Amino acid sequence: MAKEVDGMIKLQIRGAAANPSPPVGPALGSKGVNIMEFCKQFNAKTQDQAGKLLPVIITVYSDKSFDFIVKTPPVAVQLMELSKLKKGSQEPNRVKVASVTWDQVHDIAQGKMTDLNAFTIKSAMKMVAGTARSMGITVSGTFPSNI
Amino acid sequence: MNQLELSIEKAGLNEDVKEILIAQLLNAGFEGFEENDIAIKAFCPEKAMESDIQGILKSFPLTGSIEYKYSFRVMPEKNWNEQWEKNFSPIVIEDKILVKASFHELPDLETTVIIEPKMSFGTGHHETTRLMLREMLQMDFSEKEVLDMGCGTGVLGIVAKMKGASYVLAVDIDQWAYQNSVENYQRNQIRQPFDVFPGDRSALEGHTFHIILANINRNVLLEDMAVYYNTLKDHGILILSGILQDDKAVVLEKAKESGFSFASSLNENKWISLNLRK
Repeated sequence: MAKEVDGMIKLQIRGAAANPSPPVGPALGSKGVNIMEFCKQFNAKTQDQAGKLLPVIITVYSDKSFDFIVKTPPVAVQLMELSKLKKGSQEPNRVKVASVTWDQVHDIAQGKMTDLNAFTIKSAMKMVAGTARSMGITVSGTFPSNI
Repeated sequence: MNQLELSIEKAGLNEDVKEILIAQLLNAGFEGFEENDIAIKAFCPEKAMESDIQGILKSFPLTGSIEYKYSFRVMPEKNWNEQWEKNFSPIVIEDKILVKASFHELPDLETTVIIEPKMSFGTGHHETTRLMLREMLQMDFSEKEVLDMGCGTGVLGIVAKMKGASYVLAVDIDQWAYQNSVENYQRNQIRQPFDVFPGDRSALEGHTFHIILANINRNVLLEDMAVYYNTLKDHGILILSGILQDDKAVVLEKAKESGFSFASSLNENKWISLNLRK
């Protein structure tokens, strides 16, 4: 029989660096989950992505056990890292603060395909480009025709 | 360490805006985030936050069309794992080692350790600790000088002392673990000589050991391998845990490169331990 779900917790924490401090501690501890067990499992699972901000969705069951799914780093974080941007534009429509190429957009989109609910790489790229525009980041060049 | 919590109401924020906001706050020094039905919460150590958060929110994209409702609070440091720790189950390893809390009323085994973990790792509930304890059951600790690296609750060093080790040095980089080890050594009435140090491999300078126990993780074990080799006496034993089955080859390769020879390995579920010799 499937285990009864007690709740879902959505966190974003750095890979291989989960510790009992907030947000992990209060979010899991209040549900009676062994925080140290989660930290050990999460850190092992993400040891190849050390330091990257990773969304994680934790399902807590009524017997205090848990499962979790780790997603790829958020698009906005990847774009900021890529363009070495400290903050987005205050007026993204008028003031452009950085630019990325369609190749770079393609790379981010490819990694995010499963998380973005996109059926095709083309639609995933358009979503990534949309986030870039909202941050005042221009995508340079024309959309590749061979995709 | 006290933590600063910035809570921003989600109403009116679409997915794009939420994502960009988190990216900005990450750059501003926030380290972790939680999203619930009502708000996005961002956290960082209170002392680390030097940036002007209100300034960040003010200069955030789309501020013209979005009004943020946000609040701050300081969360004092506390044992977040208290609820689980109030009622955890005891652990028995091969009918010989019992790890329990003071509230468990159970007959002692050959080796019985009382642990109150206080947010430290090492109660025997995780495979990596159980693998270490199983390795230790096969070993002779009489008159041996032992290092417990990444000691957590201190359980491994305490067992080593109970099994006859002449000296144990327990080291952990985490302040809670350091403090907790000190308490657990006292709780189990472990006799001197032993030391508990807060810190990392730099705490090992000037020491050598017959046995090193290191239940940490792949990345740290790979980084510290050469230090373990140099810190072991000739013919010393290194027991490693915190390694996934998939990482066995890479850790073994590094161990051999550092001068160790492979003796044996144990496994439980997807985790393994390695028994290496100098």
